[in-house]
Amino acid sequence: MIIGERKPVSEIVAMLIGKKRILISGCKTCVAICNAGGEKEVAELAAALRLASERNGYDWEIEENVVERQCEKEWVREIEQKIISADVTLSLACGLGAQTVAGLYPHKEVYPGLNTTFLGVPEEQGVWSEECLACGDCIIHTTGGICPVSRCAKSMRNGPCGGSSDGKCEVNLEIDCAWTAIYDRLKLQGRLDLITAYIEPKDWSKSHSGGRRKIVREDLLIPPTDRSDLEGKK
Amino acid sequence: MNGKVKVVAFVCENHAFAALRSISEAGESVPESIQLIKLPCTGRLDTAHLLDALRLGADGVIIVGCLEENCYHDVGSMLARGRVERCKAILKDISIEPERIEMINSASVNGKGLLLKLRQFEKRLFDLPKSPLKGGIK
Repeated sequence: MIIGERKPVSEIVAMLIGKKRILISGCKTCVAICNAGGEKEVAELAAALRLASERNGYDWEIEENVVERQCEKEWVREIEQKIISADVTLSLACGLGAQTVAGLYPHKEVYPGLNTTFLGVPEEQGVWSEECLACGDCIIHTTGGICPVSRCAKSMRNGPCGGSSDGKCEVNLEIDCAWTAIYDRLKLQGRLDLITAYIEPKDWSKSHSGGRRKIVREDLLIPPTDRSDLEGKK
Repeated sequence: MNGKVKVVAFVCENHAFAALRSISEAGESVPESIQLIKLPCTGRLDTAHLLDALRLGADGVIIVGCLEENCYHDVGSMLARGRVERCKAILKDISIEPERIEMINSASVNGKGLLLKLRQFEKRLFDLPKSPLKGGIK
């Protein structure tokens, strides 16, 4: 899922000075699961901003709202009136949600209430870790189901590097070495031959390095309807 | 701060509330400034509840939970502690004294100790500058 982290309240306050009507809009999907932008977090931020407003006399009118999925236009359109009547929408969704609102209502200001941090998984209550870099060319079938691109600081395809020590990464000793984990996993699976197999250099053009990516599925596209015969124009 | 203070106390209805009851059974009374709100567990508290209480007129908010190792719902007191710490960080970030929120844990048999902590919290609020929030009593 997409993992996010709320910006410090003071940073959000600084963005909003001079505004009057503020809509805080969260999202019930990824950022709700990672406790950054769901219903409770929207309520918390609203309470904090109301306190700041009263503390400093900003006179903000704050409305709270959480949409099902802020990255999808259909759901965002359901709160169109709220967005239009607010001076600013403070999005507690990920960057995708915030940009969907901004794209649908280009004349309205949309501010980010959280930082979209990484693609990750919940490890335990209150702990999330990065597991995927969305590189566009998955190879985890050769690495024991562990992604070296996101979990190795150097995104090495043939590891480990010389900086791996006692299963830890030289970049930060708190971080497990991805290639040690890959070795252990392949050993468990009886597939250690894969650890010595050479993996070709990565084609980074399939990642963000190749520019903004877009997927078009022709089979899913809905062609424009020719309504002229229905309207008696043929 | 001069005059009276207003304190909202969110109290767990299990061991913590039994401790409060034992205060009156011992012939003492909970300070008048404290308005009690009973909860099934302090783990039910959200951060917004604590922040809203301050905005709506409390000079301070205190959360009275069971001892963490003896929480009726296992992790309620621990979760509440985390939320209190989160609120303190938010208050500090927006230049409001984090000392206005506190959590204390009490065994059901320790009414005397709980009363002492409640009085200490009340005194702490008296020692703080006037609350910058309209709702607060000054």
